[in-house]
Amino acid sequence: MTETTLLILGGLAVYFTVVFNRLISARNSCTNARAGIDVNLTRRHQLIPNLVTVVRGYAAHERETLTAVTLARSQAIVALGGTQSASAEAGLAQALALLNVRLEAYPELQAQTPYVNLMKNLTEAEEQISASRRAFNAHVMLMNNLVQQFPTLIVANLCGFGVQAPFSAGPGAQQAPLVNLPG
Amino acid sequence: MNTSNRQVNKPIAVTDLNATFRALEDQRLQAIRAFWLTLGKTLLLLPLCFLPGTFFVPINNAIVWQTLAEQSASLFGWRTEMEANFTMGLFMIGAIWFFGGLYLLIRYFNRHGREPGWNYLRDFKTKVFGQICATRFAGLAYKPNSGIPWRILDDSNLFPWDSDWYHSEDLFEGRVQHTDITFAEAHAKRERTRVTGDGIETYLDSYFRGIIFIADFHKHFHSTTRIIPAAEKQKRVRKQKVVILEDPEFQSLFATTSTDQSDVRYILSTSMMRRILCVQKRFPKLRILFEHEKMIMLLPTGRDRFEPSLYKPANCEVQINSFIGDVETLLPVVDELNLNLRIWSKS
Repeated sequence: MTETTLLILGGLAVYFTVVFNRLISARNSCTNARAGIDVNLTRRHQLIPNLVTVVRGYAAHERETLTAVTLARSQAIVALGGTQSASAEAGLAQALALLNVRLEAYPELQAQTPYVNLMKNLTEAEEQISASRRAFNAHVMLMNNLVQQFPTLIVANLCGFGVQAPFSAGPGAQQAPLVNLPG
Repeated sequence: MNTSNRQVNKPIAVTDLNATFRALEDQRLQAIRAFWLTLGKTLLLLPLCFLPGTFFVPINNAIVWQTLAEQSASLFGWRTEMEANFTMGLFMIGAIWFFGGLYLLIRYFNRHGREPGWNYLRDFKTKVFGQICATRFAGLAYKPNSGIPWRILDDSNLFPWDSDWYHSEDLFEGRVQHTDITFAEAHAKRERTRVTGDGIETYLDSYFRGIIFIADFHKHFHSTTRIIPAAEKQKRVRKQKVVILEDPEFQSLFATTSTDQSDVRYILSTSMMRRILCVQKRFPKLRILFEHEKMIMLLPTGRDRFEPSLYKPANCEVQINSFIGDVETLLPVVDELNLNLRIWSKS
């Protein structure tokens, strides 16, 4: 009888350890994926000053729009990694989309190689942000499955693992900057 | 080159090739004549190989070689041991005669009967298909005697085994608008065993016959990603993890593994997944590898493509159109996958 009890307890301990390690691994993956989003967001932030410089040379009348982009960028940098990051990024996306619309009136600028290259880099950054968000959401789904499904939810509740929030697109995401490229 | 404007199966103007066709037609007829003539000669010479067999034919209930051995033994006063040696010698000479004769006959038949046909097919591909490819598909070079190296298939890990036999030919390389492409026909086999009545038999099993299509991918990436039909056996590769993607149809049809969970989603955007599904409808057992900023696609076709026939006239439009059709089936893959779209930093 004692041996059976020990065997069951031993089995439970092994199961507990395995599930606990899986939960830790899933949580670390989420943290890692979240950091991946920040890396790509930083890359986008770094491209914006160059964009502003190039545009200022050709579209001096768009000072107001450029100031709005610079301001949105500063807010996004401050909010990076925090809870306000999504809304700040949405604001930046909105400002960039507005700038993009305004720049349609400057075909000379759109034919410039530095501008074209910058826009290509910006598009790449946007796609990489989108990919890292999708990767983050995939990790969150795996984590949440562990936390919410039986029997792993018992270990998760005992050890205080909570449900993670997936990265949802902010209100400005629908107006994400589209690239105007010649040809 | 605009692939969307091409018209499939439309006969092409072959007037430029008339002189080539005439020369090739002569060559073709000579090759057919040489084949049948050599076959006849070979069949006539074949009985000579069986000549030593007469030593073993019983005459008056005695086998010739036995009689020869006995007579030689009595004539030279040989003992039994020498008689046996003499018999063995006769047997060996007979065997060498038989197998050597067969070898020489096969060599003769191949050299004089089949080689002219092979030469014709090679010349036809180089002169006619090469010329058609240069005029019809500008920017694309056709090399009938080249292929895609063996290691590309084996290193791709797209199959759970390595090939034991591989052949690739009919290489096309060039550029479609902004995309560098290379594709060739390939056939790969692997060694397998089966139990038969006589024991275990080893045989070569064909596991891939189709096109290996390599295209420059339009985005920078640093990971390795494999896309394999979900129902097929997978190979476990170090550092590659299963990727769960958002598209349910894609997820049900393909098993995706990658070394980078974020990079794979950068490569496989939602639109790219839909595009791959479109290609998959034409090539159901499609396998794809993304590595070193290139995509390698294995497109199973199950038949030998880009092959002319010795028994069709050189100017036969059917085989010319079949060649054009085969190339035109493959080139739209670039447009289907939107590889010419260069809005990213990789131009």
